[in-house]
Amino acid sequence: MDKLIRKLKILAEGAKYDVSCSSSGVERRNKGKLGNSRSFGICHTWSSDGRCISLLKILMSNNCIYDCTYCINGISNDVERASFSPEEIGKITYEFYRRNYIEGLFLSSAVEKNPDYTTEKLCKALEILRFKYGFSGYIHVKGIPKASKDLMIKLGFLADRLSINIELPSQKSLKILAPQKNTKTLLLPMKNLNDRIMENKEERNKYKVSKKFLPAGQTTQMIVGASQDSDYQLLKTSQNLYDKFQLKRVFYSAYIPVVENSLLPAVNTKPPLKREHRLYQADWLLRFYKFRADELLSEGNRNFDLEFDPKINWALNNIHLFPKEVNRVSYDELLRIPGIGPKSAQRIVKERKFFKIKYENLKKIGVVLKRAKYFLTCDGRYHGGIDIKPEIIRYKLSESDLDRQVSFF
Amino acid sequence: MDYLYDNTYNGLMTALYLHYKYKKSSGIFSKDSYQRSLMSDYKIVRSNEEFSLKMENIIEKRISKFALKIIYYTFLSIEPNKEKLILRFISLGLKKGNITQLYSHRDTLPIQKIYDKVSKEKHRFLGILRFKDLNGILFSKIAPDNDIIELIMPHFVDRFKRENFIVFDEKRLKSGIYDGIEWYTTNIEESFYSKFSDIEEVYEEMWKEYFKSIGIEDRKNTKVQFQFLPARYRKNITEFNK
Repeated sequence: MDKLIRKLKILAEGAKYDVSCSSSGVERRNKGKLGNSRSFGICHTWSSDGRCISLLKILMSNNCIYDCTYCINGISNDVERASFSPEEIGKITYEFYRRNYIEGLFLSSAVEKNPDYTTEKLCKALEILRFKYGFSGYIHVKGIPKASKDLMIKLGFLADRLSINIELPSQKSLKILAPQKNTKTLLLPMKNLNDRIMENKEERNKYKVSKKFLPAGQTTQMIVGASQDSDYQLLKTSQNLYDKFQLKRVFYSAYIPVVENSLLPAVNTKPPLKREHRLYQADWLLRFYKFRADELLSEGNRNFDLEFDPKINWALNNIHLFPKEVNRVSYDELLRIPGIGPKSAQRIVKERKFFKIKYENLKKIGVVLKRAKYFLTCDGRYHGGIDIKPEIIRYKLSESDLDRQVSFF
Repeated sequence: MDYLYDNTYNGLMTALYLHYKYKKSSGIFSKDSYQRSLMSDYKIVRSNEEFSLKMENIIEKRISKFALKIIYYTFLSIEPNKEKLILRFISLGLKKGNITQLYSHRDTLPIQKIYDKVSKEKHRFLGILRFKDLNGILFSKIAPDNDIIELIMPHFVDRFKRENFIVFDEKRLKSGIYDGIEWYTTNIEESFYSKFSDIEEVYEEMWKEYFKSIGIEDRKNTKVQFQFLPARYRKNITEFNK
């Protein structure tokens, strides 16, 4: 048992830099012996860095044949190596799940021997979990670049979600930092999987009994701050992935230097957490607020302002569109007002059918007035108390502490 | 006249029915927490299945189905004035219709807030509840602010349909029990002296080690950790116990 605990430690250490831990996106009743899945996602605990822990996130192996510069498991790094057997993965997941420690499994792996060998072993582990243990809970599996298409499809019928990490948004940075990977070998499997997801949806409409293929879709992750890529480049890449491959999420991971290398930030460099935070905010704007990357950044303005969030920045740059009247403008327009989110916008739309909304009610509805008051009118009245000029609003906003701690995981 | 009910949901619904259909009360209170005085004039309402159902129907038809859910969640909350808030909410609803669409009105805001709070706690416990293996039976001890056992049982019954399990609320001395076929709650204080399985300690140890190793030192942020998981919830969570 001590040996197994040791292995678990090594293989959890190796997996923890993958930030995704969400278990959302599938609603499924218990069809096997154990487990179900809830579409809203469930956090089971929070780690010391404040992240929600939902899944048992482990590597099957950290024994890698590749040598990506930014990765601690690269072949030329001197770290302790370990591998789980498929049975061990099944058993640990089962026992953890029964005790309600976790919502499911997030299984990733270094490339052991070769991509196909690794993918087959991943399939084996999931088969044991699904069929031997009758596990009907959530499984997120990592795709191995360059694995054969058939094996990837097989994996997709066993898992709820699959992700292939792009890591870097440009061919140029990949060439420097991950010479064994290139955009084509990363994007092609994403396209194939998306095609199969679409096909599967049609099949399931026709024949109700068809098995589900990746019901929670695909996600990916990009590293922030390991390469020279700008926020504009990162956000454009995300938008393309959402548009073209219907990705469910793009995760951003502030690079924490784990290896010494002249191509990378030095080992004691602080991870760019603020920048990562701004990217998550912007990503939120793409997915829930119908913004486009080009509205937020441009060739001339390639990185986010670290002082103000992307939505306020956008509003200040487009001040001619404000103030907006909360009793009149559409839901989509309400969403563009800083300090108003989907929940408060929905409440406003519902509530104004009954009564005209008064300024006093906005706070109760959940509008963050210290931001919103400069950008709206309520029944024709402006409550900002100052001229609607970007530089004055900017000054006023910087006086109040705006950045609440928000987690996007 | 004040109406006193027996602290059950059916009792509350019965009292509400009498209030709206027979004679308006001066207030509805739980029998257990009622402060009697020389001046007070009260009547003890006996739970009545038929009246209770009728009241539910009235709320569902004249306000909405969701309103009924909000009222049920409020009943399960620890809010001391909940009966008063429920009365105000229903009275407004009977005049205005589907007031669940109204959020910031003075008669809906308090109850919407309580509903949000209870929902949030229910959701939280789907994640932070921990089972221990008690020789094949799964046992869990919880101490939630609100009385949420009934709300969380269906989730676990589906998830662990082949297991037998007990969820014990140590604050209310109330248990949710699933015997592999159906679930029910009981107030009988069960004694759980049975020993935990030997293997239990091994998996707890493994889980704690795992939990320790996933925190990223460079991103340490215990403030946020406390925001998400306040101290009062931690004592029954395996990984926060020595």
